[in-house]
Amino acid sequence: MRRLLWMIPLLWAVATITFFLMHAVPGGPFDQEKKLPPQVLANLNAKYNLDKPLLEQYVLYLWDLAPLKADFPPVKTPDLGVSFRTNQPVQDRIEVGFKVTAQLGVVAFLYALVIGMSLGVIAALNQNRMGDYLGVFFATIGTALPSFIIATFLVVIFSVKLGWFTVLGWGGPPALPWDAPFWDPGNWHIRQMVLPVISLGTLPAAYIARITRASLLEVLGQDYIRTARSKGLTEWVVILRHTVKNALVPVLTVIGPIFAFLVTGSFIVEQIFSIPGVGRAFVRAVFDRDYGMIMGTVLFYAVIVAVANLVVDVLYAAVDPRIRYG
Amino acid sequence: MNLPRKYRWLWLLATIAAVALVAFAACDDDEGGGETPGAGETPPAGERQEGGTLTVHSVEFQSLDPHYSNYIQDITVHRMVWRGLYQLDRDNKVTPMMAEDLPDISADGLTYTITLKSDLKWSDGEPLTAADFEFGLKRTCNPSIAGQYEYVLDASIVGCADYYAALGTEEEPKTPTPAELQALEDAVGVTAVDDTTLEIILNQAQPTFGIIMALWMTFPAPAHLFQTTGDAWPTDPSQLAYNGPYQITEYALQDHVTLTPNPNWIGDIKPTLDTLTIKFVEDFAVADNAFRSGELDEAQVDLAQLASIKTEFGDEYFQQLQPATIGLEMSLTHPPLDVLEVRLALSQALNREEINTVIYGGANVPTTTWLPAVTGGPPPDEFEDVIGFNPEQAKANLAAAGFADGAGFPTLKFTIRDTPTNQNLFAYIQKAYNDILGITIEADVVDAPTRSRKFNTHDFELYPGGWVQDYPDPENWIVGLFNTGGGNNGYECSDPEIDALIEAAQFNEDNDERLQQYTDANELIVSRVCGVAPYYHITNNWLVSDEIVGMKENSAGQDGMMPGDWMAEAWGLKK
Repeated sequence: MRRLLWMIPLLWAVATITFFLMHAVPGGPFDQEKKLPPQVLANLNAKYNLDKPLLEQYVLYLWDLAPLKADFPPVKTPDLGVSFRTNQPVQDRIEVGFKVTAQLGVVAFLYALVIGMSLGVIAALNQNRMGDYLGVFFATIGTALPSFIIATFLVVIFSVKLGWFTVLGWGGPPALPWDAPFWDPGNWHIRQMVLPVISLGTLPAAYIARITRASLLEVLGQDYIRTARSKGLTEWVVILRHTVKNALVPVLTVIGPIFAFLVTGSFIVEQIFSIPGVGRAFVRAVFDRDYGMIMGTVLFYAVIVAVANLVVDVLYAAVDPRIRYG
Repeated sequence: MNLPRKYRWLWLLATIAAVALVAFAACDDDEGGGETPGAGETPPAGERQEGGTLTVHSVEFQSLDPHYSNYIQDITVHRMVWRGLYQLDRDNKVTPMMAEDLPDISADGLTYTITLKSDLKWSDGEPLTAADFEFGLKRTCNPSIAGQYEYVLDASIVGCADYYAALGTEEEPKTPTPAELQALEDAVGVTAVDDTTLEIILNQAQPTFGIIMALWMTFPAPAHLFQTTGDAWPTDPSQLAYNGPYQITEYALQDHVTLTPNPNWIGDIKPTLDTLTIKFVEDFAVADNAFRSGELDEAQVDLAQLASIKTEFGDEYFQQLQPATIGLEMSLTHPPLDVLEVRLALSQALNREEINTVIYGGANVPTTTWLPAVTGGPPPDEFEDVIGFNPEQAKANLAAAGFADGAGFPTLKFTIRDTPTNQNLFAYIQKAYNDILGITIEADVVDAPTRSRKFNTHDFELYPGGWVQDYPDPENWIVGLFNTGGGNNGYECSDPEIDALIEAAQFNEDNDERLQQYTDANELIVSRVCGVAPYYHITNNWLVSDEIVGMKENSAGQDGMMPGDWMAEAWGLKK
């Protein structure tokens, strides 16, 4: 509970720093190539409260944001305001975008987990043989190549040349209309999913493969493995029950950060595949100086990262009883 | 320790993922766009098959409100779903659209009486009346809407400027009462006399007002969906009504918008497509790949790949000259740029042909005129002898300004947006100036809003920039851009002769004389490098599937994001 309460000052600090940094950067939402006449600019500034002193704007923003007000009933939903460019509620844009980003992140996470752990296990069990070399090769390539390079190669080969997969968009259930259930397989289109998932998930998959391999090799050298073998257990039982289970402790510790990375770090992949996620909206908001969207998305990301870290901490405590949070 | 349980969950998760991936692969459907094949010459717009789907490329619009927005991607969609009293044809001639005929103009040129076609309807079946046009125009003048193209109406319609300025400015804010605001709105010179008659009263007789009545900021508003003109335009397209050839039936944020034909469209050309989908893709290279893979039927060309795209696509590559001029803008209040000879030297040291070839892959049309030929200006090489590439003359001019061989010349800042093309442009010009004039420039690399802020606050020295036409009249190229104190005069050109010509031309009812005055102003602007040394006219470069008709055929200076998008009702699939 105390850690949950800590999120309030954390979010306040993030909001404050973002607000003032954003306004310190030159150029505003209505600075454009074609200059707007002074009266137009004045009316636009008035429309979005930009004509008020900066401190007053800050207080107004926090006031709208604060979930607690002196109203009755005293609890209200935080109001993230509207986009300064599209006039749409920031909350709506984030909600719609996040549904897509979360789908992409979760599928990429599962891909990273399956591919990474499988390759790690194969590599460790075939140390210094072909399986190991292939696993290490994948891990090296995956770590060394940034997602936009992988994405470009994949698009040229598998979309443009072979026509197997699409270049644009995301194949998950659309965020709108709301009645598109995610459990209906008809709402998932694999041709639109494969390339973004591989582009986003390959780096964490490589990371997981390396950790799994190293950890497994360490466990394989332990005395209790030798004991298990000497008891006459079959090799499969030794590997599945005694080796892999224990080798996964280090993997578990990186899963939280990897999940947070996948859900918050997809903006490059979203840009390349024109996926309507929250990351792409954030990048565009920064370029547009869309103050409303910048504040909203930064705060949203802050909440995601804070919650992910909280979950990992709780998991640590569950895994290792020696860890206790006051 | 409960580790084993956790691991079981992990394995379960992994297994579910693998099974799910296989399951989804099995149930995937093929979404490839399947146009009917065609052959031979591209037929004229009339020869279209009934039905079919087109998927075209744009970037996401910012606002669906035609009385508010000023972005080309917004206006592109506005013109597909709404139309005004008049429309400009392919030759920029004003033709009736929702109006029955051209307006009756009073003898003093101040009162326009416009009769609407009978039985006009919105897409939702409600009658479209003169009151909707009155409502639309008053929305544009309403200060709380903050319409970004209101200034086009400012000098025209009686009371519009006063209403728009009702809230004052940051320095001098005003707080009118609701009654005062209503009085100002009522005083705007637009009245629906009856359901089919609209009367507009102007401040001064204005030769270009006919053109303005064809522009998006004068489009009607479905008044039956609003309480007051200050109400926000719905961001959900299903809450709107349309009077253009199409209506919006689906809008997926950041992804696409889908249009279908408006059943109540009264235009002569009816849409034949079942659906027209506009996909939002910011990166043109991505869009080109989507064109290659068949996901898009039309895409803007990534200029960095122009040469290879021309070779790769042959007839599917399409180029259209745009009424837009780019040049080297110079802040006249920053010495030594206040000296004419310095500005001439900087212009004459620019090899426009080479810049176009080396930096832009030949995508543009080198020029020495500000006002383009398509809007009544002279041909691009008209002022070659005056400001065109001439290294010897450039050196002589710099020497005449007191900076022989660049001695004593200060280092000038060259403010650019952070793109590879701009970096190349800077490197090229830096070398040219150093080699020819012996002077140094340094790059001031910033992002787009910062760069615009610098221009608008006169915080720059050299600035590659220009103008894209809003409406096809020389007035749009000169008024506000080169008169002293003009809203878009960021380079601070202030020349009594240019001011006098602009003042004489702006409300001159003798059209020939008016156009001549603008031509003369253009010559003075160029020969005195009054803020800008033009170097090229922009072209738009597209990929258009050869299964489409009505795009290339209708491509003109009015094009927005796609060829011929100003009359998208003529688009269709080849028969």
